[in-house]
Amino acid sequence: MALLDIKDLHATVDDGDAGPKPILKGISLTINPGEVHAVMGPNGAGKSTLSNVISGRPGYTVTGGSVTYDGVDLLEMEADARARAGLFLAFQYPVEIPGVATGTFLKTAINARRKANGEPEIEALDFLKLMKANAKKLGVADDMLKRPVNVGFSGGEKKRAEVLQMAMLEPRLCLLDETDSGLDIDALKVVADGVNALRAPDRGMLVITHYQRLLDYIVPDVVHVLADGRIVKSGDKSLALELESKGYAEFTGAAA
Amino acid sequence: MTDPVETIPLVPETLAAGANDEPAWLSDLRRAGLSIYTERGLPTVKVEAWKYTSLAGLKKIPYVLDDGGVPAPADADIAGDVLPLPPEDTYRVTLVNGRPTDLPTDLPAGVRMARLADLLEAEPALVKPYLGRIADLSDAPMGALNGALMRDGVVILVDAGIVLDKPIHLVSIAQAPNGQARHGHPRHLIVLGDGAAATIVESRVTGPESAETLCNAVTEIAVGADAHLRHLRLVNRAETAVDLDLTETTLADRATYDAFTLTLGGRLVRNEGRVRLRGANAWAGLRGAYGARDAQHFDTTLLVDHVVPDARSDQVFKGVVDAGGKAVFQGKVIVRKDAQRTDGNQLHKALLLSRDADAYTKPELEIYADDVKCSHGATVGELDENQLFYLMARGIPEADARALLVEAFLDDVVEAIPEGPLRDAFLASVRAWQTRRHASTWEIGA
Repeated sequence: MALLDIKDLHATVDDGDAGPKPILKGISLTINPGEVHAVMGPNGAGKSTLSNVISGRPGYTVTGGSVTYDGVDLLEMEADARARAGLFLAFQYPVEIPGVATGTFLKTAINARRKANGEPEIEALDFLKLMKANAKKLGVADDMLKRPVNVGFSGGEKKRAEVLQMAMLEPRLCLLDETDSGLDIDALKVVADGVNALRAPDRGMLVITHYQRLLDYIVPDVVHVLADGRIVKSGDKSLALELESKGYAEFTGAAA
Repeated sequence: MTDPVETIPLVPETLAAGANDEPAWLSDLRRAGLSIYTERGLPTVKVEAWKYTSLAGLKKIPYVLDDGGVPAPADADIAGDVLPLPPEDTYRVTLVNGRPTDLPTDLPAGVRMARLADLLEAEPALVKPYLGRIADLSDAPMGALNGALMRDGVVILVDAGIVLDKPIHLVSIAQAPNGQARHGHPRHLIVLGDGAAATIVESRVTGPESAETLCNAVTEIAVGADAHLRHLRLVNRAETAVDLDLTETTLADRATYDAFTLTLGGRLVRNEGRVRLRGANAWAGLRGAYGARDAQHFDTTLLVDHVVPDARSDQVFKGVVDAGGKAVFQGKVIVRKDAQRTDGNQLHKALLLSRDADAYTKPELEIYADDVKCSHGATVGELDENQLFYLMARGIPEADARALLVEAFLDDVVEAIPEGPLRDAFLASVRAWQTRRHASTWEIGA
């Protein structure tokens, strides 16, 4: 069974007084377990809308099509239920939450998922071990874990913290929204290593990016080009390189 | 034309004339208080200082004046509301309707704790220099009423140079048994000599099965030169309680007054804090948090008076208001002509969790000196949708995510209390409130 099956997805963003604005105009995409797909596209193509709609962010309305995750209708579920079912969104702009310690937050998230699965809460010691082991791999300093969620983190630290959360929550489907934005090359490598370590036969990934650079490190099985709310071309990893040399002009022109 | 036969609300006719064999200075104090109160009556919204908090409704409640004699409830009956501090780690005093029922017997040398009633009878000279002289009640009708009707309260005198080894914990219980509403007017006095240091903690709660209570307290505090007072309070009364508190503090050179008030329970609570910075390099911190809901009305009214140069003050309050709740924050800073190089800061942040929640903020700065640094800020907002989505995107259910954010909002200011058992006790009270709130039927969010 496909892990994620998107069929002819149409969605609008609620644009205040201007009313709903169509962003996704018929997207179809299938990710099987073990596959890594990349979605590339110019600014305004609908890349972030796609990840927001899949993860259940308020402010968007699905006007047509379907999103099926592991055989269930994802669009019927609230954002928190999707996450507990195994979906993980690595945010383009991780949110700062003053007053909530990173450790407390992670433990609450893990236990929410365990509770939903009828499992007991994680033992405090097991949690600490798990967190420290993952933090070490990603070069996340101990004092960062004591600080409030994302507060005072640099851009690179925020992205590493996102991958740390991803590793600890063990999702089945990872959505990475512009995870490369704001990263220098060293930080990019650390983050990519963290992501690659999570590649597994039963796990799928959707990597959303504007630039090909990230895909040198997280090598995708399939690359899709998104332009004006539609997937205009799909291919293997060589498509990313082609885009890097030619740019998006061809597709934006075609879509217009 | 006023009605000539109208009785004075809350003032028993037998008392209006003033009492018996008291020293003349005390009778004068009572008469002065009564005349201020009689002239002004119960404050209504027509009075600027009470613009958002009317007491007119109190007239309808058939309160009788507390005459003492109400026994203290069992500790178990109030344990859930009192700050969770082990009795052996504090000098604990229980007060019922403002009257101490027991006093610690193991206080260190140089520290005296007594009933005001006892001192007024046996050693009035001991309190005369302070009583009614620290607090200026000429513009405070309820404080003036307290002056007229006060009978008892707790007096804490710490000699110069004495550093108290444990906090004093005042467990202040409002209790009106047998369905009979009661009002009381506790009067407390705290005096720290030069170089002394003490921490005084207060839990204000309601006893079991209490009828309506009105507690109208006045606390006068004098902190001597180089002395330090930390004053932490939890207001956790029941829905039958109206709780009015006026605390006025005067600070000498380099003295500090570090106050924190957490208000979580009571139908109508007004915490009025006044500080007079009369010593150079003195510092006053008036901080606190509150959570109001379900017809609760919590009013924080502060006055910081910079009388002399080179003093600092900080006011920081954060509060959460849920459906049906109402919060008022009035913060005034006066910088007198001579008070150059004053550093005064004020911040109030309210979080509204429902469309049916109100918060009123009134900052006032009166600055007569020209070389000062004063800031004030006020925000009223809702929970941040981005933060909420971030938590939910990690699998945390919406109700839990909201609770986490609310608790974080309040904990942020509770952390003004230094790390240790006292801070933990206040954090635990926030958590217990949150749990009750979570378990109750009222809507979480709009």
